[in-house]
Amino acid sequence: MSRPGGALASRPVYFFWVVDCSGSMEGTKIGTVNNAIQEALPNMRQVAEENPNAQLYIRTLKFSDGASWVTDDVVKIEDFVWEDLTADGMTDMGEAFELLAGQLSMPPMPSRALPPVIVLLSDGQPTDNYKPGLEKLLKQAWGKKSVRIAISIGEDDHGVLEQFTGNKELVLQANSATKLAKMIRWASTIAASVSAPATQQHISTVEGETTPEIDMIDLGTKPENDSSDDDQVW
Amino acid sequence: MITFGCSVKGAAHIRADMPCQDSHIIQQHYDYTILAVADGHGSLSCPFSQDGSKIAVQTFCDLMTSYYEKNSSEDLMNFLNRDGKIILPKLIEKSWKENVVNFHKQKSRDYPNDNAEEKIYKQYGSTLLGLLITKNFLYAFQLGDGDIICATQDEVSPILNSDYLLGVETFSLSNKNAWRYANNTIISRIKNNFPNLYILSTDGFSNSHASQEDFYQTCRDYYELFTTQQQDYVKENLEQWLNETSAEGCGDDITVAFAFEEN
Repeated sequence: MSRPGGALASRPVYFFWVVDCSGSMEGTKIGTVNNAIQEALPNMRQVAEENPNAQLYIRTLKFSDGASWVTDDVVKIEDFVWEDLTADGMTDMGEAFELLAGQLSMPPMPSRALPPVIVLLSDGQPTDNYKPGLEKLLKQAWGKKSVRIAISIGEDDHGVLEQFTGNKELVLQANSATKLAKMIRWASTIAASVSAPATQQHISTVEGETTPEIDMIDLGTKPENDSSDDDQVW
Repeated sequence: MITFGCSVKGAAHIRADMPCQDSHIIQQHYDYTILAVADGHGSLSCPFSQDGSKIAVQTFCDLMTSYYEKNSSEDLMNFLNRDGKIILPKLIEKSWKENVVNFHKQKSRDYPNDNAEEKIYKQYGSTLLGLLITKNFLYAFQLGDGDIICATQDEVSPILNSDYLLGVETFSLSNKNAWRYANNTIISRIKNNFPNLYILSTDGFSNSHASQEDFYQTCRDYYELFTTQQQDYVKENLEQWLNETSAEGCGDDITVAFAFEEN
């Protein structure tokens, strides 16, 4: 007799590339982003294949004048194809946050998913009012639980990106094409960390108690931001 | 009453060469039965959570046994109704933490320089689900994720509605004031709806199903097997079925413990 019971399924992991396509990204910056993400995909596919208990889905969000999703829906990693992005226009990061908030509400996110991963790449400051969109995103249950990484491309002022990640350690600085490619490669491995077979102790503060050390998902070792392999520095 | 259970190492843990972090215990006495399951966290900051889960189920069992043996069933029920909802979770937490520290010392494991025992508890982090079944009442306890289900001919439903956390987080015995995050309930058994099947499981079981309805369907199917005298068949195949469930589902360790009462 076969196993009793209803349908079984792996747990979904949603991975979002959120890419600044403003005019200042034109040239080497957007070219490096396109190449690096394209090059990261085979490894993402291989890692996903090695973990059949987590189904990886990818979706890309671009923002410049406004924001829009590149595909109509999330795409399984096996079927995902990177479409090169072009750069032109302003930096409507707030609109990107709004769209992300919509994606992370339930539905369409299922409650049994693993924590989603959001990788935000930007070389500048938002030109729209980003705060309402960011607040909306972080109010979503999955927004709070998501692993949020920001890659700052040649920009020193990380205030907005730190508000997005909630942790300055997860804002990576990329001052050259080489560094940017390295950061993107590292960020692409986060989905594997999220899918690892372990639970995390929930940390909750109650009035009068000191905040305990946050027990984060282990994201592995971040690449160093040294200048040893810098070519052209932004 | 028919009782048995099984813990299997998850498919992802097999690939990662990690031990099974789940534990379970079943003790059946003349007029009461205790079941407990626990899921060690398995994260890098919890290297001894396999031990933590074993200590958790044993702690629950020892406490319930102690209470039951020292009090009449009616007195115990009154105590649980009156004070037990807070006192017992506090005692479970306290006992688990004391047992963890003692175990840590017995194993001569590194002790924190500042004697902060919180650092030890965290290394053994675990959930805990427990059930005490007597003729007069049922006591259910839950701290962390997992499910305690009662299946009857009319319905499949959770005995406790635990505080569900999204993603991979869970409440833990190692939390400071962990008792605050525990759910528990006492149910009088004056009006019983036999036959009953109680199913305790760690979250790897429900998380492996495509939906909650699919999970409940599994519980219904097991109920059907027990009520048609196929419990031996379930017992023989349970380990294989749970291995399949993990492999085709979420990959986590899975523990399931059953208690079936025909009348």
